[in-house]
Amino acid sequence: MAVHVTTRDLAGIPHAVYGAVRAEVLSQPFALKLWFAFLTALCLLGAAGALIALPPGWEVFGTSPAFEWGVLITGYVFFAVTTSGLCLASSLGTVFNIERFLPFEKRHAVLALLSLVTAFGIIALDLHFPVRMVFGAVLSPSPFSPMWWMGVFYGAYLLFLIVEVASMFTNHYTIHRISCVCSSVTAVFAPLTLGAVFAVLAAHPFWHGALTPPYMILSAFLSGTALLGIVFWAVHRFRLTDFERAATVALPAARFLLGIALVATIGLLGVKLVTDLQSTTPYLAETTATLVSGPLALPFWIGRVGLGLVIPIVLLALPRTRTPDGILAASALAFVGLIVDRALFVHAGQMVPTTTASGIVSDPFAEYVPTLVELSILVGAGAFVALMYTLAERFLDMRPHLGHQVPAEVEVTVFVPAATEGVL
Amino acid sequence: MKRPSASLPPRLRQTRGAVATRLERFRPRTPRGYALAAAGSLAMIAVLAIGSFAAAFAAVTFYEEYGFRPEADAREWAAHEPAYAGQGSCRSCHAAETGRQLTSQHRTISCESCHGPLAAHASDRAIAQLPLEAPSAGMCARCHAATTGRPVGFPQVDLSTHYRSGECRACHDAHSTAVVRPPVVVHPQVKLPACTVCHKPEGLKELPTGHEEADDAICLGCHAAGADGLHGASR
Amino acid sequence: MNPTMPPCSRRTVLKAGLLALPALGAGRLLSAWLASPVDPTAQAAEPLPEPLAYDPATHDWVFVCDATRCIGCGLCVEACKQENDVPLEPECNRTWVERHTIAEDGSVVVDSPHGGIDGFPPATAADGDVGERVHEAYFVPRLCMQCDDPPCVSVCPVSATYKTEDGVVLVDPARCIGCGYCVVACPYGARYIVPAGDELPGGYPGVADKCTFCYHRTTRGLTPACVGVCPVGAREFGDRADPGAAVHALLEDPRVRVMRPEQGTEPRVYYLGLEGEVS
Repeated sequence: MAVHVTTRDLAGIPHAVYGAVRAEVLSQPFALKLWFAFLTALCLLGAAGALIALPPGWEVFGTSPAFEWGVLITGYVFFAVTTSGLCLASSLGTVFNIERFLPFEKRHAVLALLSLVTAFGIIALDLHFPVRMVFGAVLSPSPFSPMWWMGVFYGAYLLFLIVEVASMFTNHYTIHRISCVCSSVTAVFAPLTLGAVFAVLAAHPFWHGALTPPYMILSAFLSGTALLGIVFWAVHRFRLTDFERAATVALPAARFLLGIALVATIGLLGVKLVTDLQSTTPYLAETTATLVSGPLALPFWIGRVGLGLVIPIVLLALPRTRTPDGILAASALAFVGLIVDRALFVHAGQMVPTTTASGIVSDPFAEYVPTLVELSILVGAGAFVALMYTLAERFLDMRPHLGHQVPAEVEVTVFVPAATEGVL
Repeated sequence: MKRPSASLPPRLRQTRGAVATRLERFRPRTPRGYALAAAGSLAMIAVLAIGSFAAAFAAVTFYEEYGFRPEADAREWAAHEPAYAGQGSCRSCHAAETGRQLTSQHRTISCESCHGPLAAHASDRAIAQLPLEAPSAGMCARCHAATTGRPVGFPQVDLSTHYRSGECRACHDAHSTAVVRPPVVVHPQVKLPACTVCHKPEGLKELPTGHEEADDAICLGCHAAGADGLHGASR
Repeated sequence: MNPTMPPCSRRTVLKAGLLALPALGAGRLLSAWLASPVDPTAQAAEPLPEPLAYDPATHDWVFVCDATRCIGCGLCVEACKQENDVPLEPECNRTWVERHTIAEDGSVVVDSPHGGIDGFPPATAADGDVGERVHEAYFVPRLCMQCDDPPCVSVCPVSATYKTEDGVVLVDPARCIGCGYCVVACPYGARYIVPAGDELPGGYPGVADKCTFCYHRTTRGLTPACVGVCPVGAREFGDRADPGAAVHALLEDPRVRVMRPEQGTEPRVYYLGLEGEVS
């Protein structure tokens, strides 16, 4: 069976694509068109920034030896932690098959994949030689470096997520189930190693310490849950696929998990603040003081604590705001609070100078102002996730995955060894 | 004992037979044929060997390019050319200057501290012909300007009061550190009392650094010794 | 492999190798495996010794900075930039000098204009900041501590920075990915990222760079450039493995200490006359 392709056929392809896109655009409601146009514009802005930042363009960043990790690292940490949090938040449904968390499936995986790809994209722009990193990590591994382990776990996580998403939309249940377990396990280890990247740095007492990795996992859980809360509000509000369950099951589940994450985060943050402020470790109390009463106090108390933790908890707790809109407000505020938290975390860790860096005396604080290029990349990254996710909602089949709806007794035969089967 | 092929499924046995039948067609039948077959086989082996060697070489080079290779990199760092020749290279040509320098207070200072990196000058005849530029007065001030933080006892001068502080070498020889040409002052006033009336620390003008308070005879011993003797004449 | 080969030739050879020139490959592999790094005929006319007979295992380099002698002239900073093609940007320094001014009330002001490359202003910029009478002031030469337990080496994700047998921490500029982790990890601020647009012989923009103890000089038996130009002997360099080295006497001085010992980095750069918490 031969396929004859002529130049005329090839010439027809752009026309066909154009026609399909045109029909699709015309069929969209005006608000959606506006939304797409807005996101596309922001993506283009980010793409322009990324083009400028491509090597050898890294002088467009505002970093210096005294403040080496700038706002792109903030963005990377934010997206990398969010992607693991999405998997953590949904693992109750996907791994443990708890009915009320099941609606997170598919949507969490698509979002997780998008955030992870975005995180990789940001870090590739921040690194000066990303290709070398891929070869170097394999050919000259460095098992004492947390960053190397972070690469290993996030690389594995990417693979598992791709398999998970692919098997989900092609209805390969067994593969899907296994990849769900694998990605959930790596979703624990990945932010753990990301936390360790900062936790091993004795030169930066604010990052250094055993509490940093658990804090990273906890805030991963928080950001993943908050993002799911926002998404399921949209599913409910715009009557997207499976919206019935969004209001009855998914939003209450998100509310429940968000409450746990917020309370736990407040607890850990409080412990860290109190111990750090009283610490005798050089520079640690001074650094924490920049957050509590120093130049970072305003974003910390208003953005991080007030908007990001206290108001969401109040919104979740008050009976009047236990509505989908209330959950949206709580999730969105918690999400914004996490963005502030990431920026504060990266900023505060480098702000108090512990040494003269390469001849730069920082007095009293190390200076760093993000450039427009750096900010445009971050804006573009966020818009990219939103745009791709909206497209996924529109074109992918977001109906519940049948693999999670098989009756319970079939589950038992899958997971329990034959010897114990009779007992059950 | 069963032949191994007997256990194979019939389809596979059939295939194996077909391959043998096909190969039969290529069996050489003449001496020339055998020679050609041998040459062909050798050529094939050679191609395979060269190919695998090239692949191994590419893999090794690739590993060298991206793999861990501290020794090779340390050799590359060691292979950079020095810009500073270090002590000992200058004396053979610049005996007069080094001779004065080696008995002076500046004897611990390397020539290149003031004259800059000269490894190329020391090794290249063409560059060696170029006259050395004398360091500027700023070079003296770098070390000898009175500055907060300098060790007590290190010779420092206050540039705001030191005589003609922009032209150090008019009076000082940088190599011997001796004051070779005491400044000859064209004094604006005539009929003056003793020098030390004005030139005292608490007077109108501070004594230059390093000068003891003394009487006229001692001052004029140096400062009137110029070619025109103007200072002396003004009195 | 010939150590005098310029670093870029590796890439050229890679291209040739991929074009499957097996003869060249065989020659190169053989030479890599068989040849000793010694080439007695190379550059015999050079007045400077070649690094060929150097065995890193027999050396143990240490550095002693004397803050009581340093006069802050900045000749070392300038010599370092000249010797190592360090970018001229003021924020790129392999070595620098800083002035610590302690006021009567105990407050400390540190200044280091452009790393001290042009010396220091006579009337200290710190005087106004302190607003008090200067109680004490001194200069501190700074450079990479070449730690025996270097945080920068353990955090590098691709093993691009490493410790040599003679005690020096080096960065392989062909491996470095420019992530900045080592810059952040160094408690002494000894590293910087080479800015884009700086064309360095044998180096690359975008990679981490730091003091090498002038590895190309020490392997030739010369002292580091900063040591050679120091007019007051505030920088001493020597081989601890050599019993006759002058540094032994310096290291026995009871005033000798290292910078930020609480970091556990075991520096190879020792200080004389450091006061209080200098970091």
